[in-house]
Amino acid sequence: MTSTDLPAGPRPGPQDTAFFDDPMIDHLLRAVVTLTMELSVTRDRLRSLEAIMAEAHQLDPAALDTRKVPAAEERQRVEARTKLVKDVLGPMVSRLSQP
Amino acid sequence: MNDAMAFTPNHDEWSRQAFVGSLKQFINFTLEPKLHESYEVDLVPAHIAAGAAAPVKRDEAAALLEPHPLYKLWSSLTFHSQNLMWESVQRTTDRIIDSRIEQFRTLSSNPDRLGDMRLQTELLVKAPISTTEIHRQPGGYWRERRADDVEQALNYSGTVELYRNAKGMAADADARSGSDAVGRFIAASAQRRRPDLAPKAILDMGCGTGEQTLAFKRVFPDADVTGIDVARPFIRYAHAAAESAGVPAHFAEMDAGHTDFPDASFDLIVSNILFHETSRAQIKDIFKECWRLLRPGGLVLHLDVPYHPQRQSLSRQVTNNWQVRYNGEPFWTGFVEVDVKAELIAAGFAPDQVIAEYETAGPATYYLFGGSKAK
Repeated sequence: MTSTDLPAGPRPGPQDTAFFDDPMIDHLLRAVVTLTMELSVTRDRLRSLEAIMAEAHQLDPAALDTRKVPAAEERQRVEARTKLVKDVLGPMVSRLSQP
Repeated sequence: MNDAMAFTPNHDEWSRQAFVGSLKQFINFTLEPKLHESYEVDLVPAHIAAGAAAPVKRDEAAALLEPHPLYKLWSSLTFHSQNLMWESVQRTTDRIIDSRIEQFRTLSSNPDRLGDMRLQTELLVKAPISTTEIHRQPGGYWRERRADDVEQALNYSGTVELYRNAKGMAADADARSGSDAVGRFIAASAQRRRPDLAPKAILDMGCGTGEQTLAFKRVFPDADVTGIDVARPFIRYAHAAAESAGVPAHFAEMDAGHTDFPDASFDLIVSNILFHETSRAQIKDIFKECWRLLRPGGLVLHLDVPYHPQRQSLSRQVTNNWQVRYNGEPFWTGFVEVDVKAELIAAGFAPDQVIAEYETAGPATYYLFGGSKAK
């Protein structure tokens, strides 16, 4: 069986249906929820990480507050922050750019 | 259960999926009750005070409810939570799909396998099922993107317990992920209704991932158990999961309304939430097929959603209808408007042998229907 023989599935339905009179409210609301989800994931991961390290006596929690970020790591962080801003605000820009 | 086919999110994937579960719980148990309360306490009294008659039809209630900001908030969040649910499970599936397909190939080619699997050469899914993303699952139940694909079933399996708990529909408060609690609930109901029944052959229609199918083999170990479904990825998944769990069961890609089993093949025919996912025309076909396949003295017992209009407030009917229009439940309203007893009788069941009742299990209520065939 080749990939062209494979059943394609039903036609995809809409993913961004709006229910408020101004669709931007829907987009902003969903951006907030998605960000909240990612914040929740990050908190969970941080808790797990700190628990594992503390259990292994590898973490002094006070050291976190005084650490200086190395330049290479900072560049990665900037890249990640830029992508995050684009992911959050990009859909709204796309929507408003439509004729 | 041996977990060769298990849906296994890593730390962040699980955290993301758990958040979606919490979000859905908030929507279902905090936001939506507020919406219904506003309808009863504010909107209807204000409507009457303005000189209008109280709404008596769903459309009249919708005209009051739909402009309300809470309704728009509920709609938008419900829609987005469904997007997030599928996106969050897809991340896990993308990471583990290759290994699960390898597991399927290993298990299904094992010469000592416990059960059989039959697939068709032509796709059996027909319109309107074939054109519908049930539950808004991207790709529907039957899309295949690679040889021996189980992707759609794996995604679905990742949502089952999340979705059930978010709806307050877990049959067992202690039900864990991967449990067969609903299948056991149906089996127990069958035993209560027909203590004399000792089935030798059981058919589970629309078996999906086969999770609940295995319950029937566990409850009736002497029976030959078969699960059928039109979604090929689910049949592959169900077969491999059963083999992995060491439970002898057979699975076949088959339309429940048009099977190729001989007349009088089964003593017990069951299904779990099949009927609200299919069209009214196919419901008639399935009942006829149940009657044809049932042995004298046998029992048919289907379980589905209890959302019949006479059991729902008008505002609840409005939100249910929203699910039909926007959230991948296109056959929900059609199913609850079917006169199940009349259709069962039309299919051949004697009026005094027909079942159509509600049963409660913990916080959940189910609709059970079917009937017996005289010996």
